[in-house]
Amino acid sequence: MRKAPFIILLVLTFIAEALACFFIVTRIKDIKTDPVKVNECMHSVSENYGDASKYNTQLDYAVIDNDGKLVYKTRDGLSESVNEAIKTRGLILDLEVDGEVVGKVIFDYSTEEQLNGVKTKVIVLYIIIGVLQIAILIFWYIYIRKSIIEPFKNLNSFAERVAGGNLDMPLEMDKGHVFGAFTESFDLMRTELKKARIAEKKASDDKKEMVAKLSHDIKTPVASIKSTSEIGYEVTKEERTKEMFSVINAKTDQIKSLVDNLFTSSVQDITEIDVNPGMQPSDVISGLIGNADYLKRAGAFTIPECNVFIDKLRLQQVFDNIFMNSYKYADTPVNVSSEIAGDYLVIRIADEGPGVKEEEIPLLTEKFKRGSNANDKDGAGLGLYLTDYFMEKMDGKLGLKNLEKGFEVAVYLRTI
Amino acid sequence: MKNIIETKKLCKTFSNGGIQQHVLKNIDLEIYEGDFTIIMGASGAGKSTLLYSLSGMDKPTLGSVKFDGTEITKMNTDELALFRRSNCGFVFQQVYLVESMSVMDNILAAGLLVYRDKKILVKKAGELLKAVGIEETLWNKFPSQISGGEAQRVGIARALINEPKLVFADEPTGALNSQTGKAVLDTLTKFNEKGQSIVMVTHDITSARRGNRILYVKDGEIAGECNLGKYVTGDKERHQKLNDFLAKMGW
Amino acid sequence: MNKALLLAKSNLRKNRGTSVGLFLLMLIATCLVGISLLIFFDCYPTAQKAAERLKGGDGFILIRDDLEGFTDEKIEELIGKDTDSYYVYRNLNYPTISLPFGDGEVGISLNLTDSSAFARQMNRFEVVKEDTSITENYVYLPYQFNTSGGYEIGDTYEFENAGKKYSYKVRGFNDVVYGGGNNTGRYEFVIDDASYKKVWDEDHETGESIVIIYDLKDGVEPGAFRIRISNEMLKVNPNTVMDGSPLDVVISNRTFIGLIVAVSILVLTSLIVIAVAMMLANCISNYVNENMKTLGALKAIGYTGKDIKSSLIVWFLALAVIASIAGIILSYVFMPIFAGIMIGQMGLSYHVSFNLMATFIPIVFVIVFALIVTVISARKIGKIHPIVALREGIESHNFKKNRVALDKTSLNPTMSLAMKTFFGNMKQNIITFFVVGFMVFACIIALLMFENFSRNPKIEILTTELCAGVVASDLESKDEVRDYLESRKDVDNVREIINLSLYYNDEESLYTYIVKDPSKMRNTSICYKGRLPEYDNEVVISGSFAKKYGFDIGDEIKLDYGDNSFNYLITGLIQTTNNAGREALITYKAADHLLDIDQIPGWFWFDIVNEGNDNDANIEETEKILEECKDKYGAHIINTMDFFKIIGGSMTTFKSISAMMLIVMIIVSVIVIGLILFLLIKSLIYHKRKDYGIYKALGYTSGSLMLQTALSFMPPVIVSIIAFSIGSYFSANPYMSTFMHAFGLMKCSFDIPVIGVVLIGIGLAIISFVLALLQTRRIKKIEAYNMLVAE
Repeated sequence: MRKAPFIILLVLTFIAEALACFFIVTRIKDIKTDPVKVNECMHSVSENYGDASKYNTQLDYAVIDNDGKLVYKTRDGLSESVNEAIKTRGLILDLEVDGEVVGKVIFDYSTEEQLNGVKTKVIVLYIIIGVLQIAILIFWYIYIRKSIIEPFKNLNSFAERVAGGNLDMPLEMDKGHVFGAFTESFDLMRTELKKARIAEKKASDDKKEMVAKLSHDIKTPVASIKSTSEIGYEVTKEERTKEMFSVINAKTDQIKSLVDNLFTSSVQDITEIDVNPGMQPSDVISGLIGNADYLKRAGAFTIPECNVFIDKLRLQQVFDNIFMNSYKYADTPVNVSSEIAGDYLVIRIADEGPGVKEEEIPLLTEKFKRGSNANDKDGAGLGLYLTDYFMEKMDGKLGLKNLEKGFEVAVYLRTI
Repeated sequence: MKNIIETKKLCKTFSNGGIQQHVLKNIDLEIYEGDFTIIMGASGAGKSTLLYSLSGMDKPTLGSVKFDGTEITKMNTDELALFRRSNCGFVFQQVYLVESMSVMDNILAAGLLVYRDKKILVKKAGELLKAVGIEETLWNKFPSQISGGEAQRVGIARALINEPKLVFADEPTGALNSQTGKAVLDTLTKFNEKGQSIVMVTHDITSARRGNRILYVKDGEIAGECNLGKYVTGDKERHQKLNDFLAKMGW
Repeated sequence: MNKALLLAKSNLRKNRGTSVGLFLLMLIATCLVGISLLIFFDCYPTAQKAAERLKGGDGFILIRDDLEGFTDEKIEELIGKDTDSYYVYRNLNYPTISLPFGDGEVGISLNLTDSSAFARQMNRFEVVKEDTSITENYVYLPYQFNTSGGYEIGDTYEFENAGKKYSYKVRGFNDVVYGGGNNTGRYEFVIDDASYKKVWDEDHETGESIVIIYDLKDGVEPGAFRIRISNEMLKVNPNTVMDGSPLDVVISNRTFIGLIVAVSILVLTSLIVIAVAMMLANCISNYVNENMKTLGALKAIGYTGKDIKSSLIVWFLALAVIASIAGIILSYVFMPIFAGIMIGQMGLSYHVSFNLMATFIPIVFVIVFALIVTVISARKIGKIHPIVALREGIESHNFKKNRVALDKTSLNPTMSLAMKTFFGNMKQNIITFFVVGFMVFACIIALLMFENFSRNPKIEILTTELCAGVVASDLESKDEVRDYLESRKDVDNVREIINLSLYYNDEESLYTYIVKDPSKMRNTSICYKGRLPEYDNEVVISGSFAKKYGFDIGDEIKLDYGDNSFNYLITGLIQTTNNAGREALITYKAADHLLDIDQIPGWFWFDIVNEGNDNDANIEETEKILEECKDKYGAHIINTMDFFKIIGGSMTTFKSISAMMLIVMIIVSVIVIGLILFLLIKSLIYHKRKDYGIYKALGYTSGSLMLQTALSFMPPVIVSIIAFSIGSYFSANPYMSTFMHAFGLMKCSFDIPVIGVVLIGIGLAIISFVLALLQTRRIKKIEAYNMLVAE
């Protein structure tokens, strides 16, 4: 805040004002008749006596003859007799023409003109100074507006934004740095808030994802328990045992539906699942497939050696899902093959099941969509949606197609 | 371990064209006596800003810095200058020797601030210059007449002349090739072994190895720290520890 | 203080160019101020000093024509009681004589004297230079003949009086108080004793005169004394003619043009000093900025703002002290050149002497100025944080804008980079604007002097009324001569003007112009206040007289002539350089109150129709008219005067003085302009050095960078030249007048030729551009890398 210049300017105008007043006041005392002008008027009258058109009229005066009769006057309202002139402190001069006194010239003691001059000067002076002072004040106001009020308004709207939850718009630094560290700490607060909010969201996402993952993971053993119990049910002859298997079966179904619900509800909330791909050697892939194919339906296969851009965790989920679907819908042996095609390492996983209706293939990767033959199977319709999402995040893609006999899922992994 | 510097919620904000940039955010940090502390981080992470805020070269926006128990953030620039005279020594990347003073005069210009007796001072400066490996033949040369590595060692001598409690070094090897850089680092290490506390900013892992405490600055915060033993040449295990730490930090 | 000295010492090595520039600026400033002050305090009083040295007393009286009755005893009786001392000598006097001088002639009163003049007790002659090998038929001329008349020792000097020729060889030149300058209306020559004896024998019957130099007692009013003496002398011998003047009149006449010159130099100097001072301030503040990094490093190692400031102060003070002392020495060295300008008119020898005021004022001025500027410029060092200094002043919060974004402009790269440089140096631009502006102003003042003193001399300054010639006829043929003159086709504006001495209160005599019709006067600007008289009771008087006796316009003054007196109303004030500034002007009708104006012979002043710039042609033309009048009316013509002939002599002095002054001032201006442009561009390049390095590394050629720098320098220069040319055109006259008024030179209104202003503007713009191009050559030398890493 620089106020010194304004105060100095103001003080200076005040001083100038005082000086000008002093000057004008002292000048008022100096009102005098101008003898040169009087002389000019006197001569013009005396030399042109009788010819009023040649009289010099720069001063106001009246001419009377020796009898006191008015001969000429420059305007009305002047002293027209000696006595009047005496009363008004007028100037009475003898008018000589060719050496003879023919009358008198009466000059009014008129301070009016000079006073008027002084008055105009005073008015002009005050107007100038007034304008000057107003200008200074306006400049000061503009300055204060720019340096305090506007930054403050900025601050205000910033606070409003932050209160309203918009943490993306930064607070601009004010030029004068009027609020000092306040501006900076306020903006710092915003960034910290934003950071906290992101962290919070991430934590909740993580939690949901964990639940989703957990429920997904639970599904596999539960399915295994169910099929085992079903087999057990079929195999056992003992009625009591059969009953127990059927209870197990029923309870497994119950768990399965509970887990499905949990999975659906948690997955629905996940807007963004963290995928952190990095460079990995391709030999990790066979391990992943092995983990996913827990029923060991796949035959032998080899993976060409290369580096791929993947997130191991998510790719595991991808394979889990593919094998899970195959188990669920085809329940046939699975054929795994791989090749390098262009930028991708392609891993084809094919079964010998009924496949999917051709027109439904594009819909499979959408959220909550399932093939028409899946109605009798339980599931949420999220598996391939997530798989496709993960693949995209890993810069890869998913290829789905019907074979002559069976269905093939091709996993395209980006090679590096 | 006694701390020399203790910061509380240290913040520093820059702005360019009105856009604020919070370079340091709420840093709580202690620097200990006798340590060779390294501040590492990606460029723009705020490591130099941290160094200058710690040393009173720049005024932090918020927070406090206590140097040897004295609060320095409230000092004005002249008080800070007086404070730096006997407490801090500086080694800069661009050295900043006074071009129009000879090598010796550069040292004396700093020394005269603390020592009154010129004779003793000249002797001390001479010893120091020899200790940093600057031969007497160079003492009367001007900075433009000596090599970058030599200039940097003169810079170190200047930083040490007043026996500061702490030497601040800002990428002292940044403008040097690896060989001359090594000489400079050796000099610093040598003085640290003698007990000189040093804080050095670097983004160079070779330089960072010299420290026994590595602080990693990321986005204006201390993202992590790693304590190593004192520097020993060719200690593989020590190097591995540092590498792992840096890898963890996302170096 | 040890450390401050150490830093100051380092400054000596640093920025040598700037230091040298600063040194020169300080030197020039001291030198110019020193010279101005020397002119006023040392040279200007030369006449006064000479009067004391040569014992001029308080004035002199010359009695001629009929000297009967003026014995030494009588003189003692007349003069003795009012004077402390007086000195009487007799020699030959030629009251009106035309003497060759310079290009023309001077109409003047001449005294011839023998070698006894060198040994007089008062109004002593002093040889300035002589050649003693010339032993016979020689003459010593007043020094003015040498300084502005163009004569050298060994020349032959010839003149004529009443058909008789006088011819002598110039043996030397002398200083003399009375009789040494054409403006005093009197010359006194010393001729060898043998020649003098011969001339005395021939001419003493008509030409013998008595000269009385007097030194008045305290309390004796000089004017009253002269009037009383004059009256009493007329009582002793009514046929005698009394002449002479008081000392102050002689001195003011001798120094008048000198004063104009001195004031002119002062005016010009004031402008140059302002520009130099601005540049000095700019340089010092640049110096601080340019060394910001070093200052930051020093601050980092623990130097306080105070330490650094004191080192800067020590450094700049040392620079200022050395520069100002050198400058003042230079001003003494150069003084003779400037003094030559002044003394040419004074006609007195002058030797520079030590003057306390002129020596110490400039030194103190420069030192104090440098100190103030340094303290102000260094103020920010105290507050700045060292890291900010190391970043060369870039604060934590900066609001720098990118003007003329390269991606958005349609200009070609050179132009747009020039614009970038321009906007990046706003402070430099402002400084450039004002500094160049003041230089423009200074040039236009110089132009004004050239126009009015040299090319088209303002004779009005020197005379009350001017004309081509004057014809005076006796009463008898007065009307005839008037009609004849008016009928002539080559004669214009015939007016009747008589000169008479009127008296004020037995105290002062006023040399009065009695003018038949003041409206016909050629010198219309004669009144600097009020107006010319119109009616029979009006008078204008000279300002100095009015001031002395407290008169102002509107007051009445009683003037006497013989036994008659009349009260006149003062309607105006005039300034005159003649007659000791004691002049008045009334109309014929007004004069009628004092004398019978119809009984006065006719003095007709006229102009010629074909007046040209060639003085010789004018002289001839006027001479022809005068001759034809003489032929026609014979003895009825009692006097004639060729004004151009008279002016010719005085103008020679005037022209030579102003020409010399102009040359000197132009040289000074050119040096200063060059130096200032040099420093301006130097600092501009310094500021942008890093950028140039980058541009160069990017592949801009040196040529285009040079052109671009020079171009970026031009906008403020051109704007400044235009603005200040227009401004100066209107303000040069008032500015000059203000100064002239301050020194009592009321009457001055000067012409400024527009074409000259335009030429100056164009010239300065071209010079600036060329200098800028020359300066930017250093860009070529700097390698891109060096520019980038340079600290």
